[in-house]
Amino acid sequence: MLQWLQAHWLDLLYAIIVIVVALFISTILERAAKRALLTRVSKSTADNVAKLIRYSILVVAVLIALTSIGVDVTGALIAGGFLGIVIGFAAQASISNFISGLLLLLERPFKIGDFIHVGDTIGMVVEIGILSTTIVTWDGVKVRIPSSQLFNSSFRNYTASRARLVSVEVQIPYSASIEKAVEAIESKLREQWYVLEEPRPMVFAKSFGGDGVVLEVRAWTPGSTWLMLYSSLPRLVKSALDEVGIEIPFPQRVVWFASPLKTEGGAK
Amino acid sequence: MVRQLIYGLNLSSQVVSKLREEGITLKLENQGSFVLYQREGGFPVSSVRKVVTTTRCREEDFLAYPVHSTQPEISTNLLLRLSRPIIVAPHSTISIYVKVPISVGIYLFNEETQMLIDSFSRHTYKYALYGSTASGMICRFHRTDVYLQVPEKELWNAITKVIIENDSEDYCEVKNIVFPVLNTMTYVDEQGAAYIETIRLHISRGGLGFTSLENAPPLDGLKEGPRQFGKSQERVVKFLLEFGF
Repeated sequence: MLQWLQAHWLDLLYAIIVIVVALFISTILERAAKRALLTRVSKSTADNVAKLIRYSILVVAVLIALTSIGVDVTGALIAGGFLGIVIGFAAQASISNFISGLLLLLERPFKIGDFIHVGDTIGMVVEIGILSTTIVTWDGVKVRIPSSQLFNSSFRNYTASRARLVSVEVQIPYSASIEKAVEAIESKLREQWYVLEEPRPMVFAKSFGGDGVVLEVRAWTPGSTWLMLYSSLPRLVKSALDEVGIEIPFPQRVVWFASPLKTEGGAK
Repeated sequence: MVRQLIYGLNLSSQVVSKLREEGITLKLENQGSFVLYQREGGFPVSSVRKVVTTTRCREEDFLAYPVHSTQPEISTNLLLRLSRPIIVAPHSTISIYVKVPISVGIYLFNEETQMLIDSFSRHTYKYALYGSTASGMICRFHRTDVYLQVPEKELWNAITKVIIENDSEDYCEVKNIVFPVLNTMTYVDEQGAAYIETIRLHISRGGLGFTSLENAPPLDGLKEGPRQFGKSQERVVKFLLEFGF
């Protein structure tokens, strides 16, 4: 043992230095990763990823140290490689989720609090993990979405939009003045604080309907007040038309009778 | 000197009656160990009732100061649209005065600190998109006239000086001025009128516009108002007008 030490003290010193440096670097990187991830994912996920980084560095450092003092790690590496292949096949889905989760963390297409639409599910993001993301739907149901599904499919982030457009169609009778209706609706919309001044709200005659002229009403609102405008736009349009005496027409039909109708009193 | 406006004053009868003329009713009711603060009318919240617990709350402890009329959750920036665009010659600097919308802020003061307990305006706040729908930003929107001298003072508008510096080789037409309004300093004068700090619009040689907060009152002799941004908050003082001016 003493002879071995005398022959390999330099290699041993090198191995010790490698381990010490690796400990130092892995600790710093672990803390940095935790700090960077805490704002993006839950605490437990940030801890786990940070630990993974630390232990990966330490494992590599131990292998380098063992190699430097003459320990043959080839067998261990080959066995590790085979084990990796077996685990890879067995845990394809989990690994796919894990890698997708890491890529999503880098890309950051959404954050906690955003409303997203994935497939048939719409809801608010409440937790972002490595393997999955949890959203809560409009009616309070928690849905867990695997990271691979999020990464490989298209989704809409409603919150990321700075401004959103809300539009509605309304009919006015053919006898009503289009200009009067347009001015009334535009004026009513401009009074609302959540309707943007620019781009200005727009109202125009879109087409001729069965019961009257079809007007399209378009207004922009900040992304955060979309629901406010969406839920009030029909009411505002109706209110504006009521104020200028324009009634939204009921479906109207002209009825022709093949033979004269007999009424009470014998009139035709 | 006769005060015309209310900023820098406590909630005396002068302030209360001036606000009543604007359709806003303020009331302070002393109820033993606490004071009931009530407001009816105004925007964005039309009715406010707060209980202030204090050992020696006096009317003199409630003061009105100008605060910025924007909802921070919607936008912290102001887009000023000049009613008359200004054309600035190359390599020249001009100074103009504009009006910036403000709200009345009711502060509660003691010897060590103060707290903003209420803020309101008579007018609805309006917002606009600065830039494109894909990448623009929502800003508080206000149209202002351009003045070459200090304009008439108003309750719901503060006065500020804008220094426009054109370092480019071309004439530049300035129609919009955008800056982070929530960070600006406010000031009051002896007549109770409100001001905000001087703004500089610098047009670089490449034609890019930057606004910056000068940390200086637009006129001499003004008293600084309470800061709306906290001591621990970083004050954003520069803004790039990436969608033009």
